Amino acid sequence: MHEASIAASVFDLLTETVQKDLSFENKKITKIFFNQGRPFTVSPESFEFYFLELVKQTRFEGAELIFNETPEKGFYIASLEVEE
Amino acid sequence: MEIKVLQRVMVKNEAIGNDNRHLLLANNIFSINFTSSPGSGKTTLLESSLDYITKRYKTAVIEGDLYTSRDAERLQKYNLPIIQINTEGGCHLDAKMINTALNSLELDKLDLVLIENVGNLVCPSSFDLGENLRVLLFGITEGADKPKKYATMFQSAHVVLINKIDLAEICEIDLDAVEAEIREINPTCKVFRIAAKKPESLKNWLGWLDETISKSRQS
Repeated sequence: MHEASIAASVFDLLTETVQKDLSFENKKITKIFFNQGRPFTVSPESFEFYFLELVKQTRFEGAELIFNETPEKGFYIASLEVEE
Repeated sequence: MEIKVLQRVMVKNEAIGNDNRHLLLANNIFSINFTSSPGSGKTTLLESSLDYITKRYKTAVIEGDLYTSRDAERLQKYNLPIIQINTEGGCHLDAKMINTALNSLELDKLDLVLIENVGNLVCPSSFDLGENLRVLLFGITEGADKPKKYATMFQSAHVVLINKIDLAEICEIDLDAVEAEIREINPTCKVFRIAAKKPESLKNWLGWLDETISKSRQS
């Protein structure tokens, strides 16, 4: 359930990031990579469910979400892939 | 083309948690975040401790609940400031909710803020509220297998209160084994055994709390 509020935080952070960083200007975002360390506190399936609702009709709609396990604890937005 | 972002997602909550910590410190207030499953005895513990606590500290309570103010109503008889937060389905309190609550209290008139989190043995572990002490109540009636099943909550606690020990025999719970499992998950936490309905069982915990509060507020 807390994935709903985490999805909202991720959406806010992503929106800020793509506004600030000029490398995202006029580019389509195709993939969003997340890193997470054990013990996991975010369920990817549940997160994806809320996140995909949240990003409808925004520039993140249609981006694929990819979750990777890392040794570092916590849940991170790792990187974004944009269309060349 | 891949563009690195590396942004910790909880960074916003943590920033507001730090604001709360500074706000509390500036007013020389000690704060405790009580977490547990629903029905582990958080409100009962407050009821049993508030006579003792309010004699020593000017206290306010922040009550987290999904929809009702039932817990706040139970504490009204202690005649202290109570802020009710209804999360409307949200499964935890976050730092922003606490920030709003703190800003509606007269902080210069307080020594202690007690936060009763939403009953949930998963999510509150991820949300720093800016508290000095995170206390997890573990009611043994929930079953001896719970510490490892809900390890993140036990890992993030400074203190674990094993509650309802008066029911250990009837529930066939080996308290030493429960405590050993908790210590295995979190070797540094303080552990006390209590029965929240029996105020005499709270002596060690409240004595330790007094020492901890006085050390923290002097420094």
